[in-house]
Amino acid sequence: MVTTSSQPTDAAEIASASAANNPNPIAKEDSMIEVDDVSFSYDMGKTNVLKNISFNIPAGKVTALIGPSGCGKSTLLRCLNRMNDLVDTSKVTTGQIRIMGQDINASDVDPIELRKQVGMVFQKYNPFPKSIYDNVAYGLRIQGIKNKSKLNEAVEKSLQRAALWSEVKDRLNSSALGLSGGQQQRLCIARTIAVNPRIVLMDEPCSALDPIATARIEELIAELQEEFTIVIVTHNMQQATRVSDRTAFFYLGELIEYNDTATIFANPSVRHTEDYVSGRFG
Amino acid sequence: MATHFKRKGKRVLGVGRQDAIRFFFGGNAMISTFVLGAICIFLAREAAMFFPQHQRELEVFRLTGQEYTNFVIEEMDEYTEVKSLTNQAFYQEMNEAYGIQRGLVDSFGALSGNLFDDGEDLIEELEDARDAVDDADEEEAKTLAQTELDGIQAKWDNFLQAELGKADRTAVDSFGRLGKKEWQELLDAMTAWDPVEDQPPALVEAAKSEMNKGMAAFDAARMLIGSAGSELSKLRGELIKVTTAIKDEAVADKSSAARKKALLEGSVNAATKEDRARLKEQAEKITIRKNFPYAERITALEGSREKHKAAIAALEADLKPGIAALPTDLASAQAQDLVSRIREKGPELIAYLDQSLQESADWRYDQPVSWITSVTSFFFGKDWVTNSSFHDFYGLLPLFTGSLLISIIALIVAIPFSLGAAIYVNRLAGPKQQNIIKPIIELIGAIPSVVLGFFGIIVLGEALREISQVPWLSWVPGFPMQERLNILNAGLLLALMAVPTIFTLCEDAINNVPSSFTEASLALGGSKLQTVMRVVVPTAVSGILAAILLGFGRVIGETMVVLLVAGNQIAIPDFGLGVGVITQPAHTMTGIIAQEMGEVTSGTIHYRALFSVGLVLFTISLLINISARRIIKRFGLAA
Amino acid sequence: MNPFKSSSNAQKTKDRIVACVLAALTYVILACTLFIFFDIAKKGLPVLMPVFSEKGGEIFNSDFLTRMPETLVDYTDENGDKQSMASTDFIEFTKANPDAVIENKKTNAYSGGGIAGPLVGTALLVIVCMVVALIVGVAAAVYLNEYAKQGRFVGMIRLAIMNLAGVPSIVFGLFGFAFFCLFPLLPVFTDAPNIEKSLWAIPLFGGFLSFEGWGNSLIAGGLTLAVMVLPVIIAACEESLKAIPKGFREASLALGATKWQCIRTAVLPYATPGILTASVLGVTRVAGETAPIMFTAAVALKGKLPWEEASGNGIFWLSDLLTDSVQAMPYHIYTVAARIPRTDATSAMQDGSVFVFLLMVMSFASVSIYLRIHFRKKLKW
Repeated sequence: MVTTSSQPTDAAEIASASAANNPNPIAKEDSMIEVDDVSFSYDMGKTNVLKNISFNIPAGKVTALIGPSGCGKSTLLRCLNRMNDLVDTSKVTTGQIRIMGQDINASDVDPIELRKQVGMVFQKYNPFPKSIYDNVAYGLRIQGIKNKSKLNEAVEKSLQRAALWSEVKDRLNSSALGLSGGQQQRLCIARTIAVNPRIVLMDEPCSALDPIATARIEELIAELQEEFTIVIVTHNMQQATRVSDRTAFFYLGELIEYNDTATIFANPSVRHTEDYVSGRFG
Repeated sequence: MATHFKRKGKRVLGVGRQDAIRFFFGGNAMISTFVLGAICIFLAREAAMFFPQHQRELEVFRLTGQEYTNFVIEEMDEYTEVKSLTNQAFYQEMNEAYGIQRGLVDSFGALSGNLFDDGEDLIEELEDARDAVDDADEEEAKTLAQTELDGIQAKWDNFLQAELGKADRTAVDSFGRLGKKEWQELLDAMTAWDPVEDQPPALVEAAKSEMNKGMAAFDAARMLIGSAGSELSKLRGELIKVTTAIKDEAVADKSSAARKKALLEGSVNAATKEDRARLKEQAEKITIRKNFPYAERITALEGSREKHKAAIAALEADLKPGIAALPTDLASAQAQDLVSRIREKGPELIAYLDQSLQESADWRYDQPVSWITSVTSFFFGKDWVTNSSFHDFYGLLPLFTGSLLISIIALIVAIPFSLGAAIYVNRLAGPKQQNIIKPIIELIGAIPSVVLGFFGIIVLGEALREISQVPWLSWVPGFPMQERLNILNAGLLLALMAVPTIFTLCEDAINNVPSSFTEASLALGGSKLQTVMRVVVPTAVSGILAAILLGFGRVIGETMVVLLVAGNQIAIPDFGLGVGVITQPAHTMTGIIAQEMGEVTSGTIHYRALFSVGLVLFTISLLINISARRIIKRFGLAA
Repeated sequence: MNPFKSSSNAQKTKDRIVACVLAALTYVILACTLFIFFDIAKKGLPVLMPVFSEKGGEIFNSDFLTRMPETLVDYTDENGDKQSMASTDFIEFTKANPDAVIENKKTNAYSGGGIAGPLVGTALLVIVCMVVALIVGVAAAVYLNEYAKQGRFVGMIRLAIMNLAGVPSIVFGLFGFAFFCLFPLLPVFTDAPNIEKSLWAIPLFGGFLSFEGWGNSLIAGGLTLAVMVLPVIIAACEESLKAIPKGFREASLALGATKWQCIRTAVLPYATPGILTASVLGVTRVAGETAPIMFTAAVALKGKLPWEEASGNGIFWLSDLLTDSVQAMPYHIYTVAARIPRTDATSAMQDGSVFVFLLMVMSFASVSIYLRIHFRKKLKW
């Protein structure tokens, strides 16, 4: 907890404003990701699904993005590792996203290199129809690592970090599809961290899991936080309070409020946020 | 109350209108099942009748001694192959080492032939004039004749000059063996040529003797090999004659009862008295036997075994030294190749001859033919010979090999193209390209096969042959091609036909790979192609495999292209050529049905043999279909 | 400075090479296809439209489409020029010019005249085939999609359809020959039953209904083709039926419609585009096939068009028409391509027939592809 988040004082001012003119609570030098006035469109700029979003995501912390369905939180997450490039008509219409100070939409940025540093865990666990070992080693192999012992080491380490090693060490060569849902998701996390990214994006990682599996993933997130900057999209308010240090609330493509998680849930400065976190809509 | 909801409408025999409609639709749906069943039944029925009939034919084949004859025929065939290889090698070598000499000799022959033809009258005159000079007794007459002769001689000289001046080098020396210099030398030498004496110029004589001398050793070996089989050949001729006669008699005997009956009927109904008497007489000549006395007839073969043994011994006695005497150091690489093949084949041939002789010695005419032989000699028989005066063979092997070879080539060519195109279209091409490429590939599937076959005859065959004759490509196995219509040509066309099938199904399979896999790979920093090659293709592999299988089904069942383009030579291609085997002509299972079905009478063994081939094709296609669906079902993604 | 700069150039290059190879593979296929089309058009177009030939000539050679195939006579005239003409023309020519110099006269079977017979024959075969295949195919698709409960029986039917789709066309030819041509329970109306073949002849309408099989005939060929194309039609129709939302049926049934009323009013009308597509697809498949009709329907030469040749009245005429053999384009091409040596005189018939035939089949194929794409785009319920 080394953040230097300056608590906003003028409540009236905040209540009247949306995120666009929200003062940045994170100092620039501490932020891993800077989202600066970003608007984003899926249809070549005809309609924006993200509208002038600005906020900074601190390094080494868990940041949760919350909001009702369709508010743009997943879209924003996919902007961070440029997964939206897969949609041909998608376009960042205004603003910049800077990761480690680099504008990631600049022409000299290779999305492939970006994704090696900004890993992603998906809503529905999606291991490849290959063995457990091959799944974890996949990212390393595509980087051209062929050394067997290096791979073995990395696979073991990643599985251990993902708290899966003890469960699968005897069947590394059996199909990943034979694991339980929670295990598969942890395998996907292991696969993601095997390439040692700086940032791990998680898109509702527990939505397809039962409560017990969810609890294990949450534990895992807490552990991983020490090594990685984590951005997590979640629908589950309790989860956000449990795992995240900071929370951003989105509504209809706008960032309504962004603050320490505790503040957001205990003392939201915007009415909308309060309605949402207290379950009055969403 | 319940009556409100009672069924309305008339019912006939307990069947309502709705039921009738339902039955109508159901009945139509049943038709496909019925057709499949009917195909099975019709094919299986003819095939089931084929095997017993085939067994009886084989029985006759054995009882008449034709089977014994066949040993000799096959021995002869094997030997002839070695013999013709020797001849090929000999002429290759001669052309390579003594090309100019042979060119001189042949060109002289051609030139003098032309002169004889064109100057026929003049030569006759010349001859007469010379005779006149010789015959003249008196001095005066001699001078007179001499003057006349001089005139004619001058005329001839002029004619010769003119003809030689006109002579077209490319027409005379059609193989291009002579250079400009040699050609000129020959023409110069020819100016002194005398048509009456017909002595070749010294130049030609020298060339001839040089060639003969140089090739003498090879020629001697060739002659030795060539004459080795003369006794066997004679025996072959005799045996064919004898056994065919027995067979003809036996066949006639079988139908004697029917013929007698027909003749007797005819004799009753015939118009004139003489006709009646004649027919009756003919009928009475026919004796009906219960059993044809094969044992009695087969005695005609007595002594053949001894002759056979002697012939083989004689063959081997000449063949061994003949092959040993083949020169080793040859100028022509092709001839060298051929000779080494002969050297390999020699011992094989001798081993084969010994074995065949042994088998023929153990052969008995009255050994029963089992139904297993009937089946195996169909499935593994190496000959398919019909309408033969000797014996008809129905062996599937050459047709099956042809079909298989052509299909394999088609697949080898089609798979990379279709799979590559499927990956490209589905993952790399933009929507605009997709909208162009996909319909065009679909259009390929609609090109009538007979049109492709026509294209293969007119364009592709010609193009392939020209490519194969390019000198710097001669290292490619099988080049230059002997035949324009061959396995390769058919295989390439079928590859094009298989492309739409394989492409469409592969594209489907690739398309069905869930996007979550692609996303996971991309999120890990995989490039587009790494994702395709390491995740998409491996995931779609079952679909791709099924696509290939169905593509195989498509090509092995294709008829018109192979009928038009494969060359239709019923023989197992010579695998001794290695990969070059693909430049040989072949026949196929589909092709044989298409070619022969129109000409057979229903119910004959030939008709049934064709149906049996059809049954084999049908079974193959069913197996392919079933396994393709199994693969998709078992290994496919639950999409 | 930029941590995300592209680094591994080797991988980039590899990717680019692989992409190029894949694109090349794709475009080689397209190039081959277009080359074939182009080559055939280049040779065949001048036959149909002599204005494009080297010698030039009329704009459109309508004779080629309206005359029957016949023997071609070629010879050298008094100027040493090569001449060739259909045999009937030749006979007239020699009658009109008894003194004409005719040297090196040669006759070439099937290579003169036009292709009217084969065109008409193919059209008739396609009509007979499609009438039967569409009725049976649509009905079967409706049954499978609307009536059948998924069970063993339906599973069996589906399996049969799938397997039928993979059977080689020549095997259909064999089946058609054994069944439609020879099976003696198939009846014909005729004045004179074939005594050798007829199993049973019933006197009817002043003639006979004779059970003697159909022989090498239009109907045997058409039905063989219908059997072959059935799986294609069923699959295409089923696809279009499946695309109709369940809601349509439920709405209709909920209003008290019987099953048949529901199908008639709420299903079939919306399936028409699909059925249309299926039928064009079927025509494409059927028109191009040679193997199934080689010994069930086709003959190389006929003097008259089928309806001119058919005799009798009413049902006898129809029966005669259906049970007579026909010429057909694919078989005609097979005959001229495989049995007639290609010379300057005979090449016109070969190239022209192939061109017209390809054009015909390709237009149907293009229409079917267009329809499918068009309807798939439009009909999203």
